[in-house]
Amino acid sequence: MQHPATEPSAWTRRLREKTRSVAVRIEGLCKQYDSPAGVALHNVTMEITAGEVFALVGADGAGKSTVLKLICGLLTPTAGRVTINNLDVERERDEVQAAIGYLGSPFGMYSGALVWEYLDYFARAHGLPPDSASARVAALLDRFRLTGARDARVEGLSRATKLLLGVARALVHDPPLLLLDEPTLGLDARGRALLKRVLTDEHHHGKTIVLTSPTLTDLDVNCDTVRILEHGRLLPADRAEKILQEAASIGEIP
Amino acid sequence: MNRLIENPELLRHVRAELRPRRMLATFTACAVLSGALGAWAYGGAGDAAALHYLRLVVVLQALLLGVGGGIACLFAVRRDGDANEFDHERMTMLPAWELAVGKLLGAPLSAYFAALCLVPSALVGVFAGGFSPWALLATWLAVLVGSFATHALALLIAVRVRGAATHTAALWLVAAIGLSTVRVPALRMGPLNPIVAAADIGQPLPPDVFFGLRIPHLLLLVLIYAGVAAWLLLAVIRNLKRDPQAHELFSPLQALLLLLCAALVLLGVMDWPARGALPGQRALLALGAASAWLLGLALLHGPELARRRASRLVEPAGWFEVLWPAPAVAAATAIAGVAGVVTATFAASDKADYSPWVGLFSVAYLGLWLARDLIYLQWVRLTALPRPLQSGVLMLLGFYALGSLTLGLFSAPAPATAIVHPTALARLGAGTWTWAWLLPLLVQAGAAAGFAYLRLRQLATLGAPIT
Repeated sequence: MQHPATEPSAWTRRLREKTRSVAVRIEGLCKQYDSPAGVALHNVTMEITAGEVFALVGADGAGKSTVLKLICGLLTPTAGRVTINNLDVERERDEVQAAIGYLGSPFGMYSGALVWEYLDYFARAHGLPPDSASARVAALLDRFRLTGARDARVEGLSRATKLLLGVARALVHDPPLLLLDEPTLGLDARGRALLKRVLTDEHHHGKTIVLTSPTLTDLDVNCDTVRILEHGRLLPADRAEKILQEAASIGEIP
Repeated sequence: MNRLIENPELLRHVRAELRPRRMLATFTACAVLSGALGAWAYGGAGDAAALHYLRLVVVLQALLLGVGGGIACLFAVRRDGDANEFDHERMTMLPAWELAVGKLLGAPLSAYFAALCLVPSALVGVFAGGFSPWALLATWLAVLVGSFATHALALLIAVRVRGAATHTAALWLVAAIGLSTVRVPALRMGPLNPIVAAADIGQPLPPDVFFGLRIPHLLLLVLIYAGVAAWLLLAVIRNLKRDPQAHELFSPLQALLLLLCAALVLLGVMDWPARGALPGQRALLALGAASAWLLGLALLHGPELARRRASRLVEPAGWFEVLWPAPAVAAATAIAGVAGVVTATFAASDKADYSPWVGLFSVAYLGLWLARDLIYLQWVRLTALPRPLQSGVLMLLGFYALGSLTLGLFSAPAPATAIVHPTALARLGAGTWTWAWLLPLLVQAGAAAGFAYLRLRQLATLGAPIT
């Protein structure tokens, strides 16, 4: 069931048309935070091709969230650049952001909002007219099995339900690129199964999905590419491949 | 108007802040408070009871809107930031101005509603005392526009400050509101704080004088606060969707224009006839330099912004980054200072001990002094010191204190004191001018050049590629 209520926005359509070959290109990306974090990323270069599920694995503080925020344009790189189908994220931030669904981590939610209000706000903020927003919210609530919690306050939800609501929020404007920062963290088995189904669905519909995880075992989704970040440096693809093979041989990853 | 009503950010706040149970609780609290105030006012104030009651209610409204709304704004954005939702908002297609207006009007909605609940009580006070409802409306307008400015300031602070610093910022905000209740004797206008106007409701306020024109005090307050709110909102809109590490309060041109606007207001309300040319010009320079110093402090670039700028220092305007924020601040001080000298020369009747040339010297000295301090502060801001800006300001204050003490012990002449800090200008007039005054001018220029050299070296290091 793929959100029949909403037509993609003109911006999203434009970006989708361009999203055929390379989805995201990251070149020489460096990010230095003001103290105490220091240098978070050292010269990271990688490509994420259109329609693939791309996983970025690394310990806490490895720089995974920073990479996602730089792709989103929430942070500006100290050096290097990110392009999404040749659109420079820094220069054409608004256009790029319209095509991204992002779930940040750690994750809280507006206090005082009801579940449907939360999704409705983001639907409207992404430019959906009120009627379409309502239909879209209803469809997402149904898809994520949250219809029963429609009028519940978000602060009263369990962490797992909040995460699912967060993923629903990231999908509210039907973006072609999904960036999910540690989406499985704190999810129970049922939540994981539901999320896996949703992401597989989205993948089949051509979405490019980038997700991060601190451990290989958390990657329930079948990933096309897995890269490993260590202390802000991207491990070479062959080394990452070797680590993944070792992990697979001892049953750490599916 | 439709754009405002359909603003998703405003709608989100309306939904969260104005739930029926919450509104009922606020309404009940306001009704009880009105009753208690009425009992207190009518119990002890005799014939003046209605006036007393009216003032209490209007001051309470002003406090709710200004202080309560400001703090609500500050913490609402902080809460969203802590929950990471601020990042998600920045990812939406809402333009920065729409997001900012939604927050400005939405975050303090509870305070607006509480103030609205007190409107019937204020009307009771007006009609029971037989006062003019227009005076009440004018006071409300001034309080409302003043609150917009306070909320915009709170929003700007909230966008730039994170975590526990928000509590300190809230204290500064309340202190700033308190400070604005003070009447500055050099100016021909009443106190800047509309809460004072609210406390004076029911009695005729002396008009303010702006460039010789007599303007009702409340009208001038409305104009000033509308301008302040617009400038603050501009800063919020500029930075709301940016990387927090790359925040830049204003562009150089905007900073220059803002300081010139502030100087224009000061120039217009300066009490030239009563103070005379020399004290008038001194007061104008002191107020202008204080505001320029504070704005300069807010304009300092953080490490990330400086790093990014440093990597592009090959551009011809590289010197601008080396001297930042001194060029904008010193230029505004120079333009406003020269305008002050011209006004003092032609508008003031008492010109005792006044010379336009000495006035121009004071302007040049202050410009260089500001440049020295701000280039130093920008340099220290990017050093590896713990809490570099706070450390830099403390070291500067220590330098002033020690310098003053030492110079005081040796009963140093005014030009020698001027080497350390500009309060020595209070002793400079046409009669006390000597060529020795050029020495502090040269020292300020030399110190500014020295710090600029340090900045140049610092930027070369910052601009180097990360390894």
